[in-house]
Amino acid sequence: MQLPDAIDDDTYSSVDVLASDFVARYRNGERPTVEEYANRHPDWSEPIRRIFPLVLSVEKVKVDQQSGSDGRATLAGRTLERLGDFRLVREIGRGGMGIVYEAEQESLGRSVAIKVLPKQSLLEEDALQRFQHEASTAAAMHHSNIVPIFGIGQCDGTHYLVMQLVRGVSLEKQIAAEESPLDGRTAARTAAEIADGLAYAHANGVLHRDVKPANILIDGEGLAQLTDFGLARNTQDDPTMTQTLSGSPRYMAPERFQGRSNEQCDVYGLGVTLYEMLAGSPAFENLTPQQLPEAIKHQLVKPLKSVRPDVSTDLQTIVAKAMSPDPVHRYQSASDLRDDLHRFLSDEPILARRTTAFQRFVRWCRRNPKLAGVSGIAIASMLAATTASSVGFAMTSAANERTTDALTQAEQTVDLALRSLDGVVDVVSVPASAMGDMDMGELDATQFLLNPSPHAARVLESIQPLYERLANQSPTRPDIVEQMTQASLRLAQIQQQLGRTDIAIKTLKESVALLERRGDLAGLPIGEKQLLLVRLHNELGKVYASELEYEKSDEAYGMAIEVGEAVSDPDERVTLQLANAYVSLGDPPAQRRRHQIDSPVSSRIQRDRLAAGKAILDEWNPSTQDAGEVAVLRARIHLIESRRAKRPVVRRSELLSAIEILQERLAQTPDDSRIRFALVETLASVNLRRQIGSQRSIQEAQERLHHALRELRPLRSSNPETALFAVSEVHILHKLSNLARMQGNDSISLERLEKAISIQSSLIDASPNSMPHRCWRALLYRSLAEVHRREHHTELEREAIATALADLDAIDSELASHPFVVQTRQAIEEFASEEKSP
Amino acid sequence: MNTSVGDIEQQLKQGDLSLFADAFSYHRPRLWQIVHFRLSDQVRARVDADDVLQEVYLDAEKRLTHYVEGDFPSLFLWLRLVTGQTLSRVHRRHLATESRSARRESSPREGTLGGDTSLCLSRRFVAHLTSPSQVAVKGELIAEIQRALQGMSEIDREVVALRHFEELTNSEVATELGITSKAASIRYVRALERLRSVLEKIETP
Repeated sequence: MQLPDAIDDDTYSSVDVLASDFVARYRNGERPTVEEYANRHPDWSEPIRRIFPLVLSVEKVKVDQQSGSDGRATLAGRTLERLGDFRLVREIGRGGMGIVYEAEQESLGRSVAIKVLPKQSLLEEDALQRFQHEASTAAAMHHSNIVPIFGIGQCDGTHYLVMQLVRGVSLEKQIAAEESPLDGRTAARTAAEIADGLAYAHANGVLHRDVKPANILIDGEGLAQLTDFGLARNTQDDPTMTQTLSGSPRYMAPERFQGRSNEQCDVYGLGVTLYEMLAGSPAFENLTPQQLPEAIKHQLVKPLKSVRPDVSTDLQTIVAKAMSPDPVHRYQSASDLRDDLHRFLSDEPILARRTTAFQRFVRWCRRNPKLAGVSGIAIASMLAATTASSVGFAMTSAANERTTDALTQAEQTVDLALRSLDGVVDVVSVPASAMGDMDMGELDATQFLLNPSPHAARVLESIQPLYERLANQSPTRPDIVEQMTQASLRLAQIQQQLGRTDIAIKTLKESVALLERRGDLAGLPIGEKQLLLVRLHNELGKVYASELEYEKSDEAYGMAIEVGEAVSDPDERVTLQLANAYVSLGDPPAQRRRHQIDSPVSSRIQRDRLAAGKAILDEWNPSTQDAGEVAVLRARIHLIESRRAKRPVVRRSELLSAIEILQERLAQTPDDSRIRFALVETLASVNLRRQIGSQRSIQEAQERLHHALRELRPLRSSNPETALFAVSEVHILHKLSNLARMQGNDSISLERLEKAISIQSSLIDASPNSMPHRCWRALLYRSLAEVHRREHHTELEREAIATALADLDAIDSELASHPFVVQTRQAIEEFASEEKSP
Repeated sequence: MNTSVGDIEQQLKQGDLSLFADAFSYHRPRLWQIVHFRLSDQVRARVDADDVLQEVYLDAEKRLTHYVEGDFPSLFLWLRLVTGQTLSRVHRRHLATESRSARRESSPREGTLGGDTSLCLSRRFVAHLTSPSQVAVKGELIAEIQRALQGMSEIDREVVALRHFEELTNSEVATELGITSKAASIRYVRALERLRSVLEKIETP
């Protein structure tokens, strides 16, 4: 290293004497300047300017990290008993920035709190000025949720802040002391008080900059008060400042790490604080200083839902919005947060909207373009995936490849892979229309998965082996098993809606087996496992019922009830699944009623089941999340009662009740396809044999069916590939055709029938092996033959009958003896023989 | 204040031990710096420098006659010696359960404060560079600092450590290292010059 020759040894030692003086003053809290010495000693000005900055640099390295083992402030060996007029009584607490004492102001004989700032905390030249400025601004604030500041002082180079003494504990200590976390309302009230204080401060142009539980005091009456206003800036914010003073950055908004600080950063701190109140532990814990900024940026926190399932969804939504890592999605101001908390507290609807898993994933990808790239899911291809199947498929194969790579790495890549897969699952099973800010609700509750394109199914199928591999890699991780089961459920629902019921059954059965095999090994909590099993069995019951396999369907629902009733502490999700199983068992589908003669015993059992389901639903005050599902079940019970009733008046009133429940619900959530479809089905449940007699009743039935068609139209146009909706349209058209025929309007009857047949044919094209699809087309052709017979088109009539029989013949021989097939064949043959006899 | 402290030490020397508490609290801040500087990271996570100082006080009080009877340059330098002994006991106690390798790496030499100065110094520099306040630290800079420290003679490192991290005066440093004040000064300033390039990088990363 090149050393300057100009400085000789004597100069060195003389300059060192001055340097010693300089550093001694510095350590004592003074801020002497280099120039002061250079000017005073012109002969040595050059070496002074060379050496002094180096002295200062080493001194700063020394001062850094001067904090206790827990990162809190320390007086670095000094002890204090008195600061001017103030006699220190006892230490109350330590924060990152200073030590708080209870003190007596002797001249006024009053008790105050004094925050002593360690000497090393005001190292930077302008830090002291800023501290004085901020403190005087803070002292001008008067608000019941802000601890009043009396002033600042200085004594022997020690700076301090005089505040009102609050008799109480800090929120931090309160959270640590409580055995169970705070209840939702108390936490919300505290947060609302602090938000009000912040709103006031912000309106006065003051930022807090360090909102966290340690800075919130709860007094004897439970009132929350915010302390340490604006102090953070002098210390924490300054990038040249020392870590001693930066305290805990666990409550810092991600943008703070880039040096930005504004009102929304305070909102973030309060959001994380509210999270901590509810969770009972900090959102970000056990992280190294290097990991923390990443964790905050990616918001690697346990979802509140899993930590505190008892906290209402609305409050969870508020927390999520308040601590959103992206300021755009955060509350724009403290007053917005306060107002939403007040809405929650007074049971009004909150303004914050839940983020769907899909939106979360999209946001996550935006924040982490690199990671998203690594996992093979660029945001562009994700968006494309919902519309263009080929891109989606390519993307999944890329994800497959990368996941395989990732698997060779550590546990954290499993997280990444899981997240990626979950993202893919969400993307393919959520409709493109949900990409806006539309609230789709939790996907768990989404029984109706829209956009069930064949490609979505293919993507989901290709994901299954990846889950398997992850599960093999980390057999003791319950989240993999859980997520895998969720994905299977969605896959089965999509397969089912595409009409591929046999594959759906296979998916569900494999999932049950996997859950039994891996669930305990992975340490999946028994409650979670039971819930997943109940859901799987319910889903199986539904698929079997749609395949008209009633025994198996009953068995599956029975299993659902068995598992569900064994849950020791059932939550809403389990109860809802149980209600569903009960109602399903109490509600034999139309074909079954027609083809099976109910024994009195089974009929009584059905009634009991229905009563059990009804009992659950009657006393249920559902959360917003479950309201749709509950409405559907309630309506379904009315519909069953309507079918069972002997007196037409009761039949009609029960049906109207069902329609009313659904319409009411749909008015609140017009985008909920589940509700809309349930309404369609209810409106369309016109029984032409039993209910139709008078001209008036024909009229009414017709109106109802047209209403059903109108409600169905938006579903059909946005989900052309959903077999379920297509089937529904076919049935409505068929009924309308029959009604037209009863009124003697053959041309309209024919027109509707032909349209129904064309839709039914496209269904058969999509799944040629479906027995019900074939049977239904056969029945449609039978009706067609009937119209032709009335018109005396004998040739056309014969052709229709032949086509009908051909459909039945095309049914797999194993299913040929199914009651529905037998009944259909009988009906057609009877009709054909009628033709010959007259 | 200095004179009164001088008086106190004089009276101590003459056997008036009742004044020890006052004398100790006068030197406490500098002793704190020594403890803070010499505590290894593993032990630092479990005990505060203040706890160690409490032990130093008790140890010193017990052995106060050593000081009274002995020929020590000053009370502070004697307390520094006691601090070294207390520190090594604290390290032994807290690392007893640690693995042997961890012990070997972090435990200072028996009863002395020398030995691991180089390690303590580089630890402080690295800690400073990796603290959240240093936004983006390059690994090369850490390596460069370690090279710079290694490139210095042991005695030069000692001078920098004592002057800054233990807050000794130049004459105290000279006494401890057995060299003249002038020699100590020259070593100190030269050592700073040698660290110039890394110090400038730390200041403006």
